[in-house]
Amino acid sequence: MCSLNRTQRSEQSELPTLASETDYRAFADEVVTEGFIPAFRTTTSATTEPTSSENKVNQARMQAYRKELSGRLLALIAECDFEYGFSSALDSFLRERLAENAFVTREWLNSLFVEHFEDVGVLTGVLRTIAHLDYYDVAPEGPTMALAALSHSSIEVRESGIRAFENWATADCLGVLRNVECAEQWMQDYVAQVVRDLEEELGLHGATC
Amino acid sequence: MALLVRKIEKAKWLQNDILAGEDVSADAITNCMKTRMNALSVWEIGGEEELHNAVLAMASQFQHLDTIDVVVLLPAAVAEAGLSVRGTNGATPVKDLAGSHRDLVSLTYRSLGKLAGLIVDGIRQKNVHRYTKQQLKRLLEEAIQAGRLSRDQLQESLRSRFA
Repeated sequence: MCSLNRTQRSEQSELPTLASETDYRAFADEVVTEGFIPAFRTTTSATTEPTSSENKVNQARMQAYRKELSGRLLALIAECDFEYGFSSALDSFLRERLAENAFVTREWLNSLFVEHFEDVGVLTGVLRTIAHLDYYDVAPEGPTMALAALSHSSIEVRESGIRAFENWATADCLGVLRNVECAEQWMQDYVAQVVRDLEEELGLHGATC
Repeated sequence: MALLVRKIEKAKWLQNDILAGEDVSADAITNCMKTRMNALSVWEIGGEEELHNAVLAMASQFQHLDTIDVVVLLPAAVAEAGLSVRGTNGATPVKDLAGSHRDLVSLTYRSLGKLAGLIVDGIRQKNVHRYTKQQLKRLLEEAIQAGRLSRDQLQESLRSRFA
């Protein structure tokens, strides 16, 4: 059985450490009340009303992203010259957002991905870009989006999903790719080659995850 | 026999069932045949056994190791389609390959259509080859070990992947 090594990631993290949950709640309240994060709530309901400071901070940030950045991201996808092997303006845009607030950025991307599931350009733009980011920076939403892509009707979206798992190259990705079945022979051949590549790279030749 | 090699995105060419005679999608044309000064970049190789050299020339300029597809075109078919080929210096840091860069020049709406037809023929005849990320990494590693390329010549985003 394979598992993700999250310990290593947390050691590399530069998040501020708060001594206790109380500290964090105070911090979150301060952030909202001091106006560092504008509360852009547009709709609330009894079931979605945030009850804790953490939820308030996350929801405020999410709404700020949706209001201020969704249009910009979609415009970038429309304007970007995506070419395999090269960075696009979207790469740096998303890196900046992840550095700012990784948790909310992943949630925001995930919701955009679902909302635009019929738009091949948006899905491939997001997948091509997150494929260039570290697996642990985009997980779990990134791999979930790539998994969803594998069942899309567009051949380009399905291929982008496979490419994302190939680029992230973790044991989890290998486990996914070992269980992918493609209708097109050329894509199945590609998956088989990537599985061989990852087995070699991860030193898991012949092992099952 | 000399051959010409160009990077394409196979999935864009297969958006429509071109193998069954459907028309090529506009995405394939606008993404894979984006001209600059009415020219398109290709790499010339001595034969199929040198295909890895054309791929190395391309990959050595990359910012990310992404799987790529390349189509192999016959110079005779290119000439028959009325396309002009001109030798130009390639931007690759692999010095012994820089001289094998070519441009398809003076392209027009009509000649681009002919080139698209040649690429479709290439796909039909299985003259499209896929190089995965790991295969590209190996090509670059071998070139570094052979002294054809130094790690410092790679794009900064790639350097850390090579010892």
